[in-house]
Amino acid sequence: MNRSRIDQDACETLAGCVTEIEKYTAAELVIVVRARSGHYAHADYLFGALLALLGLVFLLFSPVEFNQYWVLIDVVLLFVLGAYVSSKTEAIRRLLTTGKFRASVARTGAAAMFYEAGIANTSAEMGVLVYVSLFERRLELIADRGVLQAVPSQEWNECLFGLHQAGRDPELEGMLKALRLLGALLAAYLPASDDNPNELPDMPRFEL
Amino acid sequence: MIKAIKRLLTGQHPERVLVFCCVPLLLLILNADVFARVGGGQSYGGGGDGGSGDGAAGAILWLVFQLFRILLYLTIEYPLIGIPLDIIVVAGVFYFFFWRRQRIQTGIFSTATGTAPALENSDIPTGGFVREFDQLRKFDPNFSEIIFTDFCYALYGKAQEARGRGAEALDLYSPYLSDAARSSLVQRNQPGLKEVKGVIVGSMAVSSVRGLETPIVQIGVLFESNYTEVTPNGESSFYIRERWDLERKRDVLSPEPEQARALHCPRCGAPLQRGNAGACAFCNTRIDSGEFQWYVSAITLLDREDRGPLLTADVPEVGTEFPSVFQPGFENARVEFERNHPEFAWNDFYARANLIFSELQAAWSTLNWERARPHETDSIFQMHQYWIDAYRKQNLRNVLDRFAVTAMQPVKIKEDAFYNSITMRIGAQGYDYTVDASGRVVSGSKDRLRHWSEYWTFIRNREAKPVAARADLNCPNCGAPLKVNVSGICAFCNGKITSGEFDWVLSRIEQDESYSG
Repeated sequence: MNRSRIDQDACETLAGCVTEIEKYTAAELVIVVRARSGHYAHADYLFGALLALLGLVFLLFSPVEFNQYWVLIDVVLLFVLGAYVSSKTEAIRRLLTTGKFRASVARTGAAAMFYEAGIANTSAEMGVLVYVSLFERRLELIADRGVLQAVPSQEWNECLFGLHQAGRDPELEGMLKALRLLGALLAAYLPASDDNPNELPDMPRFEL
Repeated sequence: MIKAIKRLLTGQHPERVLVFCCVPLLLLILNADVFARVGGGQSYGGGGDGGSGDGAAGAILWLVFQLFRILLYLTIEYPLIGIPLDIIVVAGVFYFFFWRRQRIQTGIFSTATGTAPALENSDIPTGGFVREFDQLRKFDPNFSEIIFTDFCYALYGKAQEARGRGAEALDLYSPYLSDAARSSLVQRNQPGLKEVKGVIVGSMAVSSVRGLETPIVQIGVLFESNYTEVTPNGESSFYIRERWDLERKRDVLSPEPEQARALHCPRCGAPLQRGNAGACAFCNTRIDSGEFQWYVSAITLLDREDRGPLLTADVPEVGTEFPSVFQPGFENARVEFERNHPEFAWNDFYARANLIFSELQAAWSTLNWERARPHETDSIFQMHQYWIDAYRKQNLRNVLDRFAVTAMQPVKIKEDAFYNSITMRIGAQGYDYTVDASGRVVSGSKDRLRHWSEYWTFIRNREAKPVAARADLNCPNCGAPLKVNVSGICAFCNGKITSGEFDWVLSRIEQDESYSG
């Protein structure tokens, strides 16, 4: 499910999946898909600086003579060019950031979304956030206390593992499969009551 | 090295990156005259000296700049001298800014040499890690310090015994022990080692909790233990101090107590059994991280001696006069607990605590620790057994004569996913002295009355039948006279009475000066 494959159809398929899951469980599932969770300006600056450094070395050691004014101009131009190219190229940004950093920003983004989307405020603490961050290739699952206290640890951890695996290379089919497993677990331990209010929107939140 | 530089550059601080990148650029530009001389491109040579700025900061910058110039000059003009100097400077800077800082933060020592300087007690915060564990419980409501402790004790004992049977036997625990941890254990095997037996953990203390703001949480645990190694030359006992570094995905849920004994596959819960390529024989998963359960990433041997701890020091009592430390909102917790457990009566509980206290003191003074078995959880019983054995081996006996409980005060009530716990501050007095085999007093005094107080934590399983606490020496399950085996199982009803499944048992003792609530 990379960005090019995110479209209205995928969004509606996920919305249908959420509606189906919530029919059988008291849990409130929210899906959020974001292009990226953090700012990567530092990676852009770094790439710009490296390019500028290379240019400077070339100017200094090249047998061709340059006017000294070109040094400053070229260095600045190369820095700007490098930063711009990096900002448009995911591979460069990925190369210049650690997996740990990307995991951390995805997690921070998910935690912020948990509150911002009101998932933390469901009446019976039944909110579950499935947060997919495409650039970071991470899927974060955050569940409210009511859910964590109801599900058995082993099955929950297995479900978590499956979702994390699906998040490493997000594509629609894998996501749907992992979500259905999550839905089955929630339905088994948090079955829907007669009065099963839909407290949160089923339509996934796409920020691409 | 590359990873370390990457780490530096990939923080959330663009300004750091800019500084990192711009400083060399600036220096290169300022050093244009040097390059010009070297490369022969005189067209953009010139420029003045860097000059010294005003004040100390300016002077330091100037000095650094000049040093950099010299280094650059040497590197280009005399590379045989300059390049080694570059390497030394870069290594020095790296050591100062990264490795040293990391070492200070984590207290991790290299496992390469097998031993490392012993960590001082001061490395463990006085207040413990109550706040960190509470934070962890926000992600994992199942997390219980009681279960974590039991898990560590169980894994420690099993791992030590397994290494006595060879590397293959130890590999069975690969879902819990990393390759590095296992090889660290196997490395200490003596030639011809046949068996490791009598593993007793004397103390276990959490020394660090890190990563709560990241997807992986890490806990450092210090063990003090004693075991016997059997070789063709005979048996030798060792007193060990070591550090285990455990990690786990922060968001997973802790398993139920029966699954947290290092006997099961952390993923599928089946009994530990190795299949192909070290994977679980049942779920076919090879576990090499803390994806599902605590995973030991490193083991560092801190100290290994063949003599026991010093038992004749006369340590003065500290903190007896300190005010009691209550948990925040204790009164509310108490009211709620009483409301949730109508069968609970404080008088019954005090009587049981008193009984346990008296039984333990009597067992301690007579070195008959089996007497204490029905009243303590496995881990604390094992810990006390370590000290009893140490006294026995040195032909010493610590006597608490004419002791009496002088005060009991509940200070903390906690209910986690699996256990209820009550912490009491217990004040007592008695004559505390240590005698050798001939009965001669080697420390303490038979004539000086000693007053002390300690925080005792009692636990009871949340699933326990709601009945009042008992204060007699009968099995809390079947009512028969107390008779348990070494595992804490009643000889009559086969109920395990030391896990708090039937009545309150002692889980932890903390001193006044270290208790933080």
